Amino acid sequence: MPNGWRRRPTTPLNTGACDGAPRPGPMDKVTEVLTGAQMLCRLLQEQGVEVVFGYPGGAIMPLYHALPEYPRLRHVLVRHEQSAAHAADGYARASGRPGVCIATSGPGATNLVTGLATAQLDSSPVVAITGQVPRAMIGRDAFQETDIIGITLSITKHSVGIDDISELPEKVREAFAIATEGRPGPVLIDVPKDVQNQKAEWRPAAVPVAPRSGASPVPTAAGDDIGTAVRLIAQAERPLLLLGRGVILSGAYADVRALAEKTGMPVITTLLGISAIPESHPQHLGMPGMHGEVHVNRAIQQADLLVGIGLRFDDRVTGNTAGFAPRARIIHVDLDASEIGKNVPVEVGLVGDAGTVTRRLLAAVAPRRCDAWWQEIESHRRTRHEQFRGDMAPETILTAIRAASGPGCTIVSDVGQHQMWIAKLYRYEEPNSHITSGGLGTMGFAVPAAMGVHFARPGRPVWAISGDGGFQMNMQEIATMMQEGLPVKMAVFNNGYLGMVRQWQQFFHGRRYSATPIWSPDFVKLAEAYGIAGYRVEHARQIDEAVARAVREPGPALVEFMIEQEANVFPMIPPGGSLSEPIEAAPAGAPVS
Amino acid sequence: MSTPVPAWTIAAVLDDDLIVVERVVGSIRRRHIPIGDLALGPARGHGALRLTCSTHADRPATERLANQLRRIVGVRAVSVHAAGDCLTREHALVRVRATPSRLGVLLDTLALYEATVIEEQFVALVVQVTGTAPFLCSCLRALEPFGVLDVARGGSVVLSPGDATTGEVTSATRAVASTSYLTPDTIIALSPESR
Repeated sequence: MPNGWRRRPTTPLNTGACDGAPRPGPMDKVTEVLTGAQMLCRLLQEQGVEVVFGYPGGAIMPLYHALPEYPRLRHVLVRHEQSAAHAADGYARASGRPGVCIATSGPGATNLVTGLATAQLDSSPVVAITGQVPRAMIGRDAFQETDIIGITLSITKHSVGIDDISELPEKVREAFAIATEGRPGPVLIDVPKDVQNQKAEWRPAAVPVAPRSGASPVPTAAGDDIGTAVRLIAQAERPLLLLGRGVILSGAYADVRALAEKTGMPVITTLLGISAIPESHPQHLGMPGMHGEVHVNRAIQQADLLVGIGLRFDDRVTGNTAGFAPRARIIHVDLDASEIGKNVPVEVGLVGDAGTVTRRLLAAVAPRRCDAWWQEIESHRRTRHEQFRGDMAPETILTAIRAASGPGCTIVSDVGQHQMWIAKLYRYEEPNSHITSGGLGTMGFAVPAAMGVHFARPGRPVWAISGDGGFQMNMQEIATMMQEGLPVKMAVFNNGYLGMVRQWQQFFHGRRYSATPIWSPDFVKLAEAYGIAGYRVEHARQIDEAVARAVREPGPALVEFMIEQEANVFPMIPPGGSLSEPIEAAPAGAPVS
Repeated sequence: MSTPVPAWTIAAVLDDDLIVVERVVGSIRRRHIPIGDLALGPARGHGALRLTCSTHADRPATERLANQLRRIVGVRAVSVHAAGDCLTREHALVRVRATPSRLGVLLDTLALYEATVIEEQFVALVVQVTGTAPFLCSCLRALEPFGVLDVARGGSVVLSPGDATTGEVTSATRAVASTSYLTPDTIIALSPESR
């Protein structure tokens, strides 16, 4: 039996509670002259930041020197800067407020890159603060100098270089405004070390800072367009409502549900739109796309109208766009005008917040039903034929996790086969209860992101569910959980392979399993080494007890599920194929070579 | 010099901030938009630059790019112009060989294109010429027999005819007090020759 959870002592200066409005630190005075580092801390407090995830280093040392003076800014020492970015991302997705990560210059900053790209692709408001070498050294290839602004230009919504302490307040305030307003996204603030040491008088914000042009697209959904959309909805015989992450970002759960119920439209949720409407809602069909259920994709292919709200019709949803929804007109609602018509041609583009536009549609549409369309869809629905050897079916595991964790649980999934099982088989009833890296597909996301979710939703259960490959990318964060006392529950679906890649090799590369068999350490002993509870489950009869014990643990816990090695995710649309070409069984192929 | 005339031109007014410029150029690169030329210079309005990019892409691709540029923080305004629907001019400096025996013919040729001699060198002249891109190409073809030693083209800039405007800083946008990286006299341009 592994050791029980033990919380190790943390640095006393940095463990302030996160329970209210900012208040000055002990070194603050009524009229103050602050260093750039102190000013940065003050600005974070001013923005309502309660927790920051980071890792110290040379160029960010002044900021770390100042941090203990601001105990209401809880710093979480991660074990890798990538995890800091993912944790900030997880916090942002779960709370709706900007998540903050901190890294030093050079390798510290470059380690943030994957996390920032993940946040950018999924429109998550992350603010990254990086130290930079002193201004006099910039451009001279100084020790640990990288052009992190240049490196991250295409994977951030905005970048800010601080050239002088006089710029610091306005640019930091602007960075937070840009990260959160309009379509959210990550913003990087690069602060040279000597600017952190500069001193200037502190001036609180007089008025809220408005972001620069481009940050907040002005909604332009015109009345004529709304009218056209309403007419199309009224005329359609086979309409579908597609919901994406924009619905979650907008918090438009009640609005889209009301629109669905008023019009009778079947509802489809993309990977990032999962939990925008309860799974149990009778009009919810499921997830579309590459691993969408056959009846869901068939509905899309037969629909004569798609009403897409807050999604971007990416290739994992559409398959080959040439064959996507060939009979359908498309109404596309999105906050970002550049998404309208980017991937699929649209009949009506409605630019605006998902909730605002949906409410306008809701007020204008006449009640209608889609009985014949529903009958047609139901005639295509079949009982799932997942093929698993043995009794360790993912559905059984996920059902046990939900039953043991209760309502309010957040599932953070990693990337791979398990991600698809979690998307399709877990029963999401609460809004925004499913978090994953959808756009970038970042393996290693789940464990650190779940730490961020915990800070956003303290007291509520959170599970990080990974494959054996993705878990090993950031499993070092168990140490962070121990040091900080974070009761995150971790599940590892262990099949001894990089499963999704192996599946592609099986289906499309003649079963040549090149570099996909993956050895793993003994995860239970690993858990013991970190001082947390660990369980290995090899048979279905052990699932409920192991999950229940993990949930009862006061601290972090790890459950390893030994699943079938060559389990596959079905159905599957082949890459470049259309939604009409699902693969529903493994091809008969040559033996593994 | 036989490059077809680009079908579309995008004009964007940006904050005078090299990061914004880099983001805009990065967006053009990332979307594989085939560009004819790219010009950057000061714009009307405080702390503003005007970037003009002509492209051989089709209209949907051009419109998509324009939409991508509009979402960049620091981009104040973007407009798309069809060739022929806007006032287009390009400026070029040409160093052309000028031997005494052919000087008269050369000056006649320059007069044909209303080109101005701005420097006389030992065996060459530096002339400036302004016009549409096809006009400049025609001029350069005419000068080739004399020996064109160097060419610096500024890239096309456009204005809408009539009262339409691209570069106005509206009340919805905020003038940004940022470090001025480009002086009013600075022009950065990438023309086909310099690429």
